[in-house]
Amino acid sequence: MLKKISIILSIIIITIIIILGGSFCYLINQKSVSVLEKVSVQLKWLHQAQFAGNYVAKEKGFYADQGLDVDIIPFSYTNPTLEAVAKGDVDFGITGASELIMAREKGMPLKAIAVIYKTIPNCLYSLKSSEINKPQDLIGKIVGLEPGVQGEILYKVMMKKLKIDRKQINEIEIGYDATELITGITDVSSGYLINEPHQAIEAGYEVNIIKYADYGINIYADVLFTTEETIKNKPELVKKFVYATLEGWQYAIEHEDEAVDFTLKYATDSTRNHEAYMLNNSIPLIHTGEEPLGWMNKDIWQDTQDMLFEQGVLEKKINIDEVFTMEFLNSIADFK
Amino acid sequence: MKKIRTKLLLYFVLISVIPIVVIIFLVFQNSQKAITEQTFKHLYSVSMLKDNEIDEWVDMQVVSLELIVDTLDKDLIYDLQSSSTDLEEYKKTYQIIGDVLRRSMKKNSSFFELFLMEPQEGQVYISTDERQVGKIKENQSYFKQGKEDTFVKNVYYSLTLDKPAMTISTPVRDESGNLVSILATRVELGHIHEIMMERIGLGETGKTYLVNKFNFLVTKIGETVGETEAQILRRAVYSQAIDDCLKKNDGSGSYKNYEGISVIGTYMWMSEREMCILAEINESEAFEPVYKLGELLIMIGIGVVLIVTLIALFFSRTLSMSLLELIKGTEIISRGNLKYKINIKTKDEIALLASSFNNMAEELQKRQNKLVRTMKKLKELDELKDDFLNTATHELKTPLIPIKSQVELLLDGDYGKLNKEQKEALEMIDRNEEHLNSLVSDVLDITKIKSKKLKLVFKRVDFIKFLNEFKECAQLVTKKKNIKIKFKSESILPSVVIDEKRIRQVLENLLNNAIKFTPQGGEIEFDIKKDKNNLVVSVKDNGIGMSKKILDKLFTPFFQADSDITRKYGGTGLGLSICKGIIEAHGGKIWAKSSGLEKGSVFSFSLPINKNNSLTH
Repeated sequence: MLKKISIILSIIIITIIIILGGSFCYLINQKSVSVLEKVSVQLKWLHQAQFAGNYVAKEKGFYADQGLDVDIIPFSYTNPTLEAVAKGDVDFGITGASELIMAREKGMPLKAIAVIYKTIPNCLYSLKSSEINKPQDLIGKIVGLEPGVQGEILYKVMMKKLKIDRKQINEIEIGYDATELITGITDVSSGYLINEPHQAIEAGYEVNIIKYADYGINIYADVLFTTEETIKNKPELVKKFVYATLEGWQYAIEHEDEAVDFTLKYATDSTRNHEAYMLNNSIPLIHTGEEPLGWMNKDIWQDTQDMLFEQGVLEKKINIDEVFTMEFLNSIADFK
Repeated sequence: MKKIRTKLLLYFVLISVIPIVVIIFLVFQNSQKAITEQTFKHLYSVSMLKDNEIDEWVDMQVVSLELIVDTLDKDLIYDLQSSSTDLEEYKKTYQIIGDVLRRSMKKNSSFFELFLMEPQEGQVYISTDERQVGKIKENQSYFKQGKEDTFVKNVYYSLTLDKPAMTISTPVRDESGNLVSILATRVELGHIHEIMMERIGLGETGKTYLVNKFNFLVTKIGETVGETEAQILRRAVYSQAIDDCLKKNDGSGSYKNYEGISVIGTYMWMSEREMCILAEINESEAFEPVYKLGELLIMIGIGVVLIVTLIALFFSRTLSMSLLELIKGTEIISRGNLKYKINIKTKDEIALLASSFNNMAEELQKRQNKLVRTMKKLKELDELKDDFLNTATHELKTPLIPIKSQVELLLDGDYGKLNKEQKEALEMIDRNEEHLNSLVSDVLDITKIKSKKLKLVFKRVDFIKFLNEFKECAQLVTKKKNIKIKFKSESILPSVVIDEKRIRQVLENLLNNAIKFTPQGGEIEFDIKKDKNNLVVSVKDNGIGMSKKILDKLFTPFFQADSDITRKYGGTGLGLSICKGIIEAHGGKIWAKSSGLEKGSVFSFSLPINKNNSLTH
């Protein structure tokens, strides 16, 4: 009798423990469903694979995992990214390092929190048949230059560094595409490695590319930035945003096809071919495996400022440590 | 009865299962441990080997590059750097140095570009790859570090080449030790991949791979090159092992690898390459022999348990069968069948027990037989005695009748007047004859009762009337002895069916007994009551009473309390047993009570009312 009772009792106790344990685990596993925090980021340009990491982070739920509901806003001439962030219309922005330094010099309280494009994609491209392989080959040729401070500076700096006499070159202004090259107006055109050369390739030409980066000239192309106020008041939010964005980029690098799919959701006017080319050629510029994604070097920031100052774009040099912060990248590295 | 069987079965199975489970568990764990250790050693030695191979190969490339420096004509390099590119002399020198580089490169199949950088800005001024000439390497570590000493830039993604590469650089100095130039080479990574992809000794799932400081995969994983080439330096991989290794630790363990697969692996930090080398094998493959052993052990275990169960079943069955047979046998024997033989074929204690039961039954049988024989003899003797008594008393009674009648005639003076002495003598004869007569009657009665030949004549009787008749006689007798007599009875008593003569005999007997043991001036009380279905008659005296010991034996024939009483009060000792016989023949009961010596006694008998009624119908 006593035996029976004890057997029944132990069965009951074990059952209770299992049920309790199970429900406890279930409760723990239940993610607390909280309301996502609304955050916005404005891009450096219109929707394209250049921002694939952001699309992936949003579509794959990396932002949501951090409790963020991110609104991805394309560039707008009426409210340019730097101004929009500085005014507080949007929380984060993506822009070039040179633009950020210039804005900072003008007194806008903005700071870079991570870099996406570590190598500048600006290049000079020509049809292979022209046999233009190096900057020295530009002498006597028609070079088409896109308007814009950054491209112009890079061109000037390279020519100066290589001691090439620009007087022997016929420089003209062109639009933001490969039309002039294809129609033969120019021998060489300037553009973005990941964009314009592809138009020529699509048109059936083989192209030669001269990268400024190969000549020791580099500017961080796309950097994530925000205001000093946001950094001070919402450091956790900044960290989460940086973390999820970089997670999105890592995923995009490992899963190019999927990332292109997500991109095409935003870049509705573009073609898969073009976006795939852009992403594929962007990856080496974003990530070479030599340092963590997003990582920034003071030397490069310093060099950029020196270059801008020498070119007369800046009136004065500012303390370079004010332009960027490693706070979030460091804490993410520790976190991992 | 099934209990013993189930219990035995359970114990047997438990006793066999517990050690088997423990053994299986221990063997399984030990072999798992042993295999893990062995796998660790194996993987570690594989990693070690590959680590050495890679380092040796890189060292070989370094030596190879440094040897090229010796073959270079430093003066020509000076000339090349200082003269204008337009001059004829420049082109000549360029051709000569270019030839040296191209020849050197042919000697080493791993080099795919050899180039010289000028030491100020790091501009490439001559290269085996024309496209690279003019590029500026001032920010590259292989330029900065290469100015000082031989430098190896470990696997990285070269933007210039648009593929993963390794670059080795070394300073070129003239005889007085001035830095003339920096010689660098790009090294094909194919061999490192080959080393890492070499799968000898790694089984089906084993693999080795390199991970750089930032968790990026350095070498291919898997067999199809096309599929995995893109992963190099792009794919970020995380695991417990990688985490620990990147803290510059060596180690081994069972963990989930970057794909979430459970593996046994070892990891080593390659300090010169600044990479982690991992060797892993899927747990499922490593433990396959253990699992197989486990399966075999479990099968054997199940087999053993089955066999033990069968044996236990057989044993417990035989045991419980013999016990059941024993129980059945003893039940039959106890019911009286002493000839029953318990049949147990086993040769154990139970069989012994059964045979001793059998012996006991046999012994009992013998004794019973003896007793039966003795009893039969005694019965015969008793019958003989009863017959004898019956005849004897009959024969004795016959001559008494003429004696009685003749004595009465004499006493009545029918044969002439008698003098006083004669009369006294005759009266004595008469008294003794009456005594003898009553004695003979008593003996006759008792023999009739004993042989159940007592014949009763039943009649419905009004008990009150019957009692009143008896009362008169009784008062006459008691008056003589100066004893008071009282009758107590309920006013209405039911009529009963009785043999009037015999019941009167009982009443007289009880009265005589009471008178006999009651001193002069004593008191006798008759009490008649209706009790449920019985009529109860009690006779109470305040005579000498009796002890409890005597009470039990009162109704046995020929019993008298003690010999003194016989002498003092006379009597045959048959009276009460006759009374008992009569009452029982009526379906009633007779009993006596006494509070002890000198405290009087009560004799009672009951007569059933209903039964008697039914007898009349």
